[in-house]
Amino acid sequence: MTTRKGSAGDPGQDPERAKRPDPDRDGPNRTSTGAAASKRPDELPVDLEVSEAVAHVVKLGYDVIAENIQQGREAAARFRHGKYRLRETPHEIEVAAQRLLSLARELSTTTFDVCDRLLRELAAQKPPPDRGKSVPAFYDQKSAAPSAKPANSAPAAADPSIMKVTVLFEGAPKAKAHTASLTRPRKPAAPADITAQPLAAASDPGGKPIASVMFAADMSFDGIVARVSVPKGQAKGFYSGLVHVKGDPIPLGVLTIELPE
Amino acid sequence: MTAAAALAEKPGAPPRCDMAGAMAAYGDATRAELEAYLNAQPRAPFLDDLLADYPSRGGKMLRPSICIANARAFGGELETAVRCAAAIEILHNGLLIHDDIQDGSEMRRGRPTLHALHGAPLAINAGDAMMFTALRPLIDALRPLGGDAAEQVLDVSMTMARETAEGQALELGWRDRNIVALTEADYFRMALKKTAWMGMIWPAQLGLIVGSRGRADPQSVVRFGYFLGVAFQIEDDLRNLCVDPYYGKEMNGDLFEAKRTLMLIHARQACSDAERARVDAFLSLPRAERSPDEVLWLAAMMLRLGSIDHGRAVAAAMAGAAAHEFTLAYGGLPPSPDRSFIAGLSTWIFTRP
Amino acid sequence: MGGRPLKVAVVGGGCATIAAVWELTRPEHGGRFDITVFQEGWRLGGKGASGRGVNGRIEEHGLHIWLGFYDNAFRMMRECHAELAAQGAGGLFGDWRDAWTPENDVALFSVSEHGGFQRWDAHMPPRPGLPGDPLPAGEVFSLPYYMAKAFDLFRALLLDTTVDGRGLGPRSAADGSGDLTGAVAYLARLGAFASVTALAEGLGVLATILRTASGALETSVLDAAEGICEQLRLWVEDRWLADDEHRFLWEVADLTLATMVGLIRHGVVFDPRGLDAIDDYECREWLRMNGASIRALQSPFLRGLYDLSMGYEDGDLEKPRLSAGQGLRGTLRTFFGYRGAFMWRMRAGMGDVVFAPLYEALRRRGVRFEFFHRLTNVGLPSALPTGGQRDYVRSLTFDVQARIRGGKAYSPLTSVAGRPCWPSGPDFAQLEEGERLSAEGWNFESHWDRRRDGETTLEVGRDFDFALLGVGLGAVPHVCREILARDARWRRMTQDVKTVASQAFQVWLTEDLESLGWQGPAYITGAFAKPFDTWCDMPHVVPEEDWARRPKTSVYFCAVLPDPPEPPSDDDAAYPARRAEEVRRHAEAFLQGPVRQVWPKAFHEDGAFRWDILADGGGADGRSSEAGPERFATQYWRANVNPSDRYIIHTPGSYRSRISPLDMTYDNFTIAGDWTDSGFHSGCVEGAVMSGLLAAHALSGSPQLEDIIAYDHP
Repeated sequence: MTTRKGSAGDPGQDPERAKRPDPDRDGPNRTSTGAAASKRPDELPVDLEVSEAVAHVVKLGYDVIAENIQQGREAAARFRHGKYRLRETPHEIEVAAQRLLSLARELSTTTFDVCDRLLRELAAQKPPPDRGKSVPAFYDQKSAAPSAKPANSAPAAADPSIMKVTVLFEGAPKAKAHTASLTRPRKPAAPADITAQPLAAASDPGGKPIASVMFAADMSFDGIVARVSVPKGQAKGFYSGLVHVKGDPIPLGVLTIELPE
Repeated sequence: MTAAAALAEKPGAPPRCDMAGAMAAYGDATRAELEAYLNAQPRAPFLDDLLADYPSRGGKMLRPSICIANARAFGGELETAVRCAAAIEILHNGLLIHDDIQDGSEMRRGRPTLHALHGAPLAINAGDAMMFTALRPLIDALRPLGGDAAEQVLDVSMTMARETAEGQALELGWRDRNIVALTEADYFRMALKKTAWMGMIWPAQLGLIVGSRGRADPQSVVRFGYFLGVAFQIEDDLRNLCVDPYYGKEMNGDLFEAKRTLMLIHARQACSDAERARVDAFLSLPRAERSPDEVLWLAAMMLRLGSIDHGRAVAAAMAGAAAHEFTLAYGGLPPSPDRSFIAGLSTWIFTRP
Repeated sequence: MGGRPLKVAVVGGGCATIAAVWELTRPEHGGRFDITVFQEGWRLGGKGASGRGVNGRIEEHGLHIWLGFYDNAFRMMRECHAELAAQGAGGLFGDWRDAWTPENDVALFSVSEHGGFQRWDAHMPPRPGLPGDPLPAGEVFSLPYYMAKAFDLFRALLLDTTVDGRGLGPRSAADGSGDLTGAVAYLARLGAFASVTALAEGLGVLATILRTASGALETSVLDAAEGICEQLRLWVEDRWLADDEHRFLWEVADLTLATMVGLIRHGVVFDPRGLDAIDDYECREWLRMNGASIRALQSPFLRGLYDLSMGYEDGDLEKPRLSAGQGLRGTLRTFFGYRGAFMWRMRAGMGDVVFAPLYEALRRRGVRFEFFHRLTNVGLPSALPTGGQRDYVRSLTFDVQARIRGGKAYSPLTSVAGRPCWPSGPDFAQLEEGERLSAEGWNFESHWDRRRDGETTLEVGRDFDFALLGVGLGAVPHVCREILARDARWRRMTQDVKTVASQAFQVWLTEDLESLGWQGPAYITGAFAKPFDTWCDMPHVVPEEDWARRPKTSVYFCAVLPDPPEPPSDDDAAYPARRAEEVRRHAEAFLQGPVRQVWPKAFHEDGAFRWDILADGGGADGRSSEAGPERFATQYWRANVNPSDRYIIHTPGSYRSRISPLDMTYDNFTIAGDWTDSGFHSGCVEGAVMSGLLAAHALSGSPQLEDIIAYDHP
């Protein structure tokens, strides 16, 4: 059994004892700009007297290299032929989505308008609402999850089964709509899948109907827009037609409009 | 106090290095390695003499020196560093051959250019051959270092190649399409791409990669090499304008070439409208029609407008920026003669023969 | 200090200390530090140690996967491989890319309303570069950058994630074109084009706003971002019917939105404390506060993150506890910081792949290793420091567990399938009285086996100049009694920084998983059933083992292990065996239960588990034993209950109680480990390596803190 006991006396008081160097700092830099901020020095790194013109030129010099480094990074990413190439797909789907969206844009409020409205409406700062902090532990296989209908955390606005309808008319400035809402389709549906039967006149079912009804998405109101094109010389009165969504025999409701005297 | 001296006396600067002596040593080591590789090929008529020509004309071996110094400063051994340097020098000479053809130059280092001696086809061929020859010492340098280092070398070399090509295209474009309304930023961009990348940044990066065995970050020396390269280029251009011809080039050759130097850009911005019209007319002439009188007028105007002084001041400021960037990039390395050499480059630019 | 090298005593041979030693012995330091690593037992690695058992089989503490953002750790390994190659020893361990293979597919499970599982395959897109590469120039870790990336990821997930093999479009193929048209057409057919394209448009706009915003972000833009998030949440909740098979995507969207909203509302983006500003909240509670639905908080993506970080207090699955700050930091790094692949699998045990080459390279650098030395006390001077003096460490006392025959250095590695490996037990033949120690069953790694050969004490000045403590946190109360007695910060640290025990088992199978009914390509699975929520198919390690009759594959299971109501006493020598027995029962039950869902063909018609698929390599007579539950005894399981082996978790607010290796309270001593304030407070390899780099900086000034990748990070 070997033991080595400590020696007597306190070696620690020996002024020659080696000590750690002071660290550069004592913690990480957690600001969002990070420590690797722009490398351009705030003052010129030269002790010489330089004229403002020269100082300006040096600043230009720093800008040029910064721009080059940034471009080089992008170019290198494109040039890379290695195995791990960033897939182009997310960008392309955005392009495709944009094209589809431009169609919708022609008929309804754009997302930019939505942003704009939100900007104006959300001027006030809101403190984080305390929605009740307790969160249940993760479900286990045996304790099967309760009904997966989501706990609706949004304030109960409208009844979600109702879909708002805005009717726009072409060719009949005094026309009025008597339908403000329809049942929301049970499955998510495209506006193109929603159709209306030709609107028949209430007083004259066999007469000339109004056939041109087109539906479009209205993102600003989370509903749909119905565009009714009224032909010249259409008789006055009330017109109605059933509205269906493709794949569902049960109509969503009835679209009723009025052409006044 | 001159700019050079002022920079050298900065407190905390590394000990002064005998730049000439160091470069001679780096150069000799490179030359020996280079000759070994060039001689190792089986003899080919019409080629070998051409291959050996430019390297034999002397030259300061600035790029190889930068490479070797960086390699050793980052902890590498001389043997590997020298192979890398030889590759750089061979490549550089190959490009010089092509450059001279492109520029239509007739002299290099006091002797006729290669294509002047042997005709363009043989010279082009020799240039190509040199570039391939550069691969062998490079591969030998990289072999023991592993895949990571090799990949980094490829990365930085592709970047350098792209930048250099862009720089040359830029300059040719300015000339061929007679672009006159250029700014200092344009000049820096061009100097960066055409001179700094291949002359300063890339040799430093290769040295860094080889010396640190792929551990250090090649990005860290980009700014330093850039400012150094720009200062170097301005100084080159200044010397061409002044009375003292060097490198055996023609005096005021740049003006005849209508080279868009910083001084020319400054002069063109500072002069009167009438003078500018005359400058632009001069620039738009074909080279053969630019008269020595007009050249002298242009040179005198530049002197009068302070363009020369401006150029000197900017060059000094660039060198100062280089010195600052040196601290950022190399400050963490242990002191060594090689590191002192790198530090000394900021002032050597102005004091070199 | 003159030219004499500084002697550094390093206690513990885990990731953190080895990373510190790797730094301190760099050739650039020119031999400035003379280092001895003291390690209990016979092998380096700490929680990352692994061994080799019968048939050369790999025996690990649990499942070790390296994530693609472990830049500091990978940089160290790549340097190590390069250095060995440059010395002509490249053949020993090969190229680093032989040792790690990229892995981009993860299978996650969600409990469905019917009580069964729904399986999701998540494919993480490969990214440029390789882990350990220098950071691309100009890349800065910032929250706006991450927020923009979050939206990009969501769009990538839109195409890549599938449910039960079907999905929103064909899975990623090599050529892009067919994918996109198909995916977009499918979206349109779904009838949701208005929502989805608007969503994509909105996300695109938001990402652009965030990306181009400068440091002086207008508050109104942040408000707009928050408003868009609200709008999107309404769409998410109102539009999508509950039983829609794509609801998981919206769960991820929901969580992402809650995160964005929370970062905005709590003002984290420009808080100088970064994500530490929300570190007092529990992660899921914080998400709930910011609008995440309960359904989304059950999402297997979130569950997987908790499982991966074992974020369950006391090991109790009913008590998920993970701080919001570190939880987010870890998530952001995991999903947006990876290079090359999302995760990287090791070709063999972590000890073999990580600690064997490092040991070899460090040995060649001149580092000395003293095995069988277990620290028992860190000694301080009796008097408190006065005047401007700092406190310091005066002595280190070790149990010498065993002596080496002939007084030589212990040679710890053995060769299996042509590679150097750590064995599962000491080489008793090298130890004095080895036969007796072996017969008496000395367990040098067990906290409950304190038998030893002798004792030794190192004194400052004579035996060491600096000391680096890298034992596991669980061991600190036992070995740092003097420090705890006088240092309130250390007391708080041992109270507030929590640990959990873990359990694991490994099986070797005579059939591969596909024949057992599991569809690839994902071979790592998370958020599975309790208790073993994480398992991974490891066929690639089998050739590294030494089987006469090779099994087709090996599967690793691991999970947290709940603590008993009362902690065991130090004298309860039977405790480890009891817990191990418990793990065995869990494992056997598990194979007969939840495994049914994923390996349906591993069961007979009558529902009994086919024990015959467990490979035992044949007994002494080369024949397998009877196929019944007792066959499990031939497999491998363990309960990681040693205090030193306990896994560090990060509970809310505990970051305040961590101590940084940069701390200067003791002027010749510092700490390293995943329990320290390393900036990345997760009990993972990367946190440990960062801690080691900080410790190296503390002792030598090198590396520069800016060179520690992602140390400066929100």
